[in-house]
Amino acid sequence: MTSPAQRTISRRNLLLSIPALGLGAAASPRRIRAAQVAVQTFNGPMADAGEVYRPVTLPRKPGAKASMTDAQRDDLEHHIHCQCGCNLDVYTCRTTDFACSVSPAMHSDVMGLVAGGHSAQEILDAFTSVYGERVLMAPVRSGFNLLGYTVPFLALGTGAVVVAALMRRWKRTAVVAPAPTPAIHATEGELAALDAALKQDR
Amino acid sequence: MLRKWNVTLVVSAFLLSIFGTFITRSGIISSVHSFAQSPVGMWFAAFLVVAMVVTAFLVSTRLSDLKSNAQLESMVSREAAFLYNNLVLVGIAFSVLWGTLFPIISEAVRGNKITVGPPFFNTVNIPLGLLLLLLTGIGPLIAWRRASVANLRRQFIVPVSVAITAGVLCFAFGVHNLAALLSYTFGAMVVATLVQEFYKGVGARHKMYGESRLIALPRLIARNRRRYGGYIVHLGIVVVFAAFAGLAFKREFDLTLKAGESKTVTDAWGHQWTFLSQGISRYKSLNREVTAIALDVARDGEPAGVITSEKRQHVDSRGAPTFEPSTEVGIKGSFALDVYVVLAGVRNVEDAEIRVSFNPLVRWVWLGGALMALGGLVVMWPQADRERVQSGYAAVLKPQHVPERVPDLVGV
Repeated sequence: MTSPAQRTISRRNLLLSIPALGLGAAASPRRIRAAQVAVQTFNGPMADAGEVYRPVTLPRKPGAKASMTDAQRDDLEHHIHCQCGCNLDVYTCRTTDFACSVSPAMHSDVMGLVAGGHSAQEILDAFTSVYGERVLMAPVRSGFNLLGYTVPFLALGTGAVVVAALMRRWKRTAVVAPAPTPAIHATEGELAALDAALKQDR
Repeated sequence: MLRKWNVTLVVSAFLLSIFGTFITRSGIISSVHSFAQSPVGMWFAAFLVVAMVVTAFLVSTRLSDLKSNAQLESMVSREAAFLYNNLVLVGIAFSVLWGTLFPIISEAVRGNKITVGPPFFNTVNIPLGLLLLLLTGIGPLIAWRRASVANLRRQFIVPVSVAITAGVLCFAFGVHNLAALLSYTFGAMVVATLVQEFYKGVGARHKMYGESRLIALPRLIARNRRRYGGYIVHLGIVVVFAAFAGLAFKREFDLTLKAGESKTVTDAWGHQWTFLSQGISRYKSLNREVTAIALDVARDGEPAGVITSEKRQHVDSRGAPTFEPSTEVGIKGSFALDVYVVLAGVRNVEDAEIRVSFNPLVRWVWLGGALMALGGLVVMWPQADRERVQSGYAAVLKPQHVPERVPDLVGV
């Protein structure tokens, strides 16, 4: 606990610091910012379908019927990465960035595969064989990728072990301090009220 | 306690924010915010190195000032709960960093490009987030220094009962998504914990000073701002988690509407929304060409206003298109849900393809953020400079008045 005497920020200082922060931001070097804006280029979204789109097809299964409902197909498209550079999945890209020509093309491939009777996993495999693993919104849970999924939990477990060891050390070194006998800043009346409260709560 | 650790966290938060900006702006990872053909990445890299060197020097030369007498009497104590909470928060931060960097690591090791998107972060961070929420509810219930079994039983009985009841009710009312169900169950426990803490604190002031409960509440917060400001932050966290869990009730519909045609869809709360197209309009504005649709909206048959959505193609001074067209989403918001309307395209001149999304509890994210900011402000707000030996009263009682069990006089 920090006692009031140790605090260095008063109410006045806190209030004064707010406009001071604003002034500080305004005084940052404008020339550098202007230079950056001048050379920045738009990089990424909306590659043309002709550059990045590759057809994904599989032979239609005999007597094929649609392998999933529209809702299931939309859910599947959440797991396929649009290749236009937007960093979105096919479903989100085609339904929000309708200037993109890549996601509709990938969507029509998905619809063709669904109509051909292929399962969700077969469709994902087909896309992976054409585009590589980057077409999946999350890495496949096998091989090296397992590291991606497990390391956060391993790190947390390691942290827990370290914290437990530290706490055990602190516990060993802890000295049970005798109860302080602080100066009492209470009137007789307040003490009597406390006394009564304690008795009532007994 | 934990001064060095606190400074390390502060420094890490600052350096990681610079690092995050560096890897996106420099184009090291694919991002809509990258400016790969500009030298801005080098500026950030240089600044990052300078900041690391300077902070390492400042911290290492002041380590002796950061010594604290870390003492812990029990692993089941509020001090220990702080550490557990801290650990989970750092774990979440690490998992985000790891997921962000994993494509780079994978490409370096295997030569394969991979994408790490929302499904990965949901898989890793949802369990950690739920653990954090649970600890938020547990922490305030454990006594300082050392908790006894009797103390734990007394403190936990109400919040755990409320949590179980809330979980059963949520399941009965159709919340079958496990993450959402656990969010609301743990959230209910946190809220019950907070109510119990405030109730006890207000009750103690009421008994001691004879204050009315309405007066006692603000005074309770004012006298122990760090504790009760922290509880307001906890409430904000619950609200934010409730909002995130609301995603489980999201509904989306693709509609095609001719001028004058209407369609009705149902949101997650069972309300029927009717969208009547007023038709497509095309016009030129100062710096853009606009294709827009206006929809008359009715909720359960009652008029609910007009929503418009636009596709904008910005043009330069010669009328040539600049960049890609952008979409203006039509939004009608309330605390129950936000209705998003996106004009996805126009077919055959008159047929508007629109996507209608019902996104529940979006405003709760803002409300939770506001509560956290308010709680932070309460915590930070300096106390008036007056002599206070410690929060609450310490009294020396005559031996005959010392009870066998001292009741919890919390935060008075």
